[in-house]
Amino acid sequence: MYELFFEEFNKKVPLTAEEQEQIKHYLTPKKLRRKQYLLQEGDVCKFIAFVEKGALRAYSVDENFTENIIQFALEGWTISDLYSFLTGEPAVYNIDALEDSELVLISKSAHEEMLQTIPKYETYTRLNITGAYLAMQRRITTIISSTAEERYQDFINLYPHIAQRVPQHMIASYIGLTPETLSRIRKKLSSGR
Amino acid sequence: MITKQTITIVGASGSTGTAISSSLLRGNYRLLLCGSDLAEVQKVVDAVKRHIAAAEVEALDCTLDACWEADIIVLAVPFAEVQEVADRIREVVNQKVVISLASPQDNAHDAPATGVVAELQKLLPYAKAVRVSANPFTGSKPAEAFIAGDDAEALQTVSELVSTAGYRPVVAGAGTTDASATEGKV
Ligand SMILES: NC(=O)c1ccc[n+]([C@@H]2O[C@H](COP(=O)([O-])OP(=O)(O)OC[C@H]3O[C@@H](n4cnc5c(N)ncnc54)[C@H](OP(=O)(O)O)[C@@H]3O)[C@@H](O)[C@H]2O)c1
Repeated sequence: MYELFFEEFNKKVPLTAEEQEQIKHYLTPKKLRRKQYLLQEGDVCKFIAFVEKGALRAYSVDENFTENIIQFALEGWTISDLYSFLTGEPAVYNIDALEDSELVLISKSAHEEMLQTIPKYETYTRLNITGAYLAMQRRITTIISSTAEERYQDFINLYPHIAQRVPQHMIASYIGLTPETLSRIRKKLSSGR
Repeated sequence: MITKQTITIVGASGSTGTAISSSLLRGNYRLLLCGSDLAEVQKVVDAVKRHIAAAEVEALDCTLDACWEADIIVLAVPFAEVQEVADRIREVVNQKVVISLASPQDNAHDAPATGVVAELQKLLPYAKAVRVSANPFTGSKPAEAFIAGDDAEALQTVSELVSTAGYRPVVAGAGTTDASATEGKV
């Protein structure tokens, strides 16, 4: 139920068995079925979700009802509307399950209590947020300065697992292309080989 | 709340469980119903769906799985069974709201509830235990539902749930610290 969570935690900050037990009490195990929402836009995001099994995505919906995917999360990743989680303002993202999933949720109150009482949790959080920040910078750079083809290849190189599990139109959305453009690029790449 | 919450009701085929199941479907909830006899629970699902065809409700055989999926858990089993159910679901209800409807004197609607929340909290130390006792016979309309528990956020969640079910929520105090306040007397 928490195996992968603690595996990843221990990679970042090694825990004693006692500390692990202490942290475990703050975690909420939660199953989500495919297509179910973890969060809908307009609600306050009350947790950070760690994916033990399955796949989720976070996306906003624009005025033409187009879904714009901001993030995917597969096993071992964390997903949330961090702005809403930290400020208590309504979420601007929807988060739903692309596959039947098993999650470990950390509620706002659990998060705050652990930050106060478990120094290693604070370190873990800092490392997580630093990692997310770096990924975000890289993503922005790619989007503003790469060609469509480079963006796609970058994505495939960086996230080969996602490319295998997620439908093409969602990948197009994530890298900011229309599905038609992505399909043209894929054709060109496969004929060029 | 816009995001649909999943509520698991354990003991859903009983008289209290059946009543709760149909009244909660007025809200933005998805219900998973469990009991000791799946066929009996399925009858409740069928009955509910006859009234509300679009109702998101389903019978699940495995109580552990259903509670793992749930955001909120309601125990509508006889008082003597609460411990057995708690033992089965303990590992998947961490940090979740667990509501017990059970009275020490079954079928006595305003039986003293002293210590009931404290007992449940002891059985499920990392869950947010809440007790709800309703007295439909006070003559007031809508009828009052007394809510007791220690976690402020959980009390808020349960108050909303109880209003949805058609009762007037009365937060009767903290469960473990002020047990006398939980008695279902006005
Ligand atoms: N809070 C209130 O205002 C209020 C009002 C009325 C009643 N109650 C309380 O609600 C509780 C239920 O009363 P009720 O009249 O609904 O009783 P009931 O009709 O006998 O229902 C009990 C249900 O629990 C199931 N069950 C029993 N043991 C179980 C177990 N170990 N695991 C899973 N399911 C189990 C039963 O299934 P089987 O029949 O298949 O065994 C049945 O479906 C009682 O504790 C009562 O005091 C509270």
